[in-house]
Amino acid sequence: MEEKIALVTGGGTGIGAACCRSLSDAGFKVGIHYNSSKVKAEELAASLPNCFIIQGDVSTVEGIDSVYDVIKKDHNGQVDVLVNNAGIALDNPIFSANLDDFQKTMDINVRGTWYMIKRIARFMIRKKSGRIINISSVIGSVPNPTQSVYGMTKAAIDNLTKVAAIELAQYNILVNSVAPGFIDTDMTKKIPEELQKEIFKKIPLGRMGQPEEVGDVVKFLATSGTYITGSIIHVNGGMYG
Amino acid sequence: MSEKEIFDKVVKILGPYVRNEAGLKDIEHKTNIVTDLQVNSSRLVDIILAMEDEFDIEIADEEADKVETVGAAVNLIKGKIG
Repeated sequence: MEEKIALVTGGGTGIGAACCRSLSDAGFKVGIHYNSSKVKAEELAASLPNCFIIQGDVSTVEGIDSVYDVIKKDHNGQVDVLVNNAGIALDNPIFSANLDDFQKTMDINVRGTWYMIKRIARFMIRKKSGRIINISSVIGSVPNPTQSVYGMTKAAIDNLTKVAAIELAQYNILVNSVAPGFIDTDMTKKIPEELQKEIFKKIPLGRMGQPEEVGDVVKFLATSGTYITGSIIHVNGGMYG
Repeated sequence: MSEKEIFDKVVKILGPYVRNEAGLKDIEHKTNIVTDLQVNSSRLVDIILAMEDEFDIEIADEEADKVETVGAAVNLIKGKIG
């Protein structure tokens, strides 16, 4: 049986790492992409049976082109599942946020996701098969003070998911978003404990989600869910407001 | 490979995607693939991939974006296969 390859951007840490583990459990050869988290990517790679590491700055066209070139040259141009997870959140109220942070967040979260699809979908179109899973966020649909830019980028990703799902359906490529809520990662550990308690009050399940609970949904979309495309799957413990 | 041979192969590749079949009769270098032949723009990627396979070449996205006419496709391929 042909070996299937899953590429996870920002795969070295947090939700990305959980996606790598769940896809590895499902039998995929996993491409762990990272930009600066080299040590964590290597540690993760050492724990997975069948994987490779791939570096690239997804905030630049050149960085994504280099990822494409490595996949084409070293992995026979094969990506069966693409998980667009790489992203940043630079939180600030609108009046204290600066344009550099705005641009950086847009470059990674929006252009990076769009251009990665544009490049990697070529491999899938050739095979007339593929799954693309974009990691968005509850903040893409629920407004949150200090996250105007982050929220915009995640809403954009959800719209991109829907458009790509329509355009790529003719090639049997399914495109979905997974929108995590408050997940226990390094990103959320920075939130002060008092504020975390306030956030828990808004979560019907009353707790943070674990990265593995997002990874499980990504695995489902990568291996099953054959009639699901253009959907936003919320993994948020019921936190919709 | 002669330019005529490249042209004929490009026309053959375009065939299944052409919605204005009358346009095929008068096809020439300046024929616009989308407006004259009414190829759906969402299928241009199929045509690019088919040209890559047929001529054993690689066409970058930025090169593909410039292929608006049959002649542009022929010239691009001609330049790559020498």
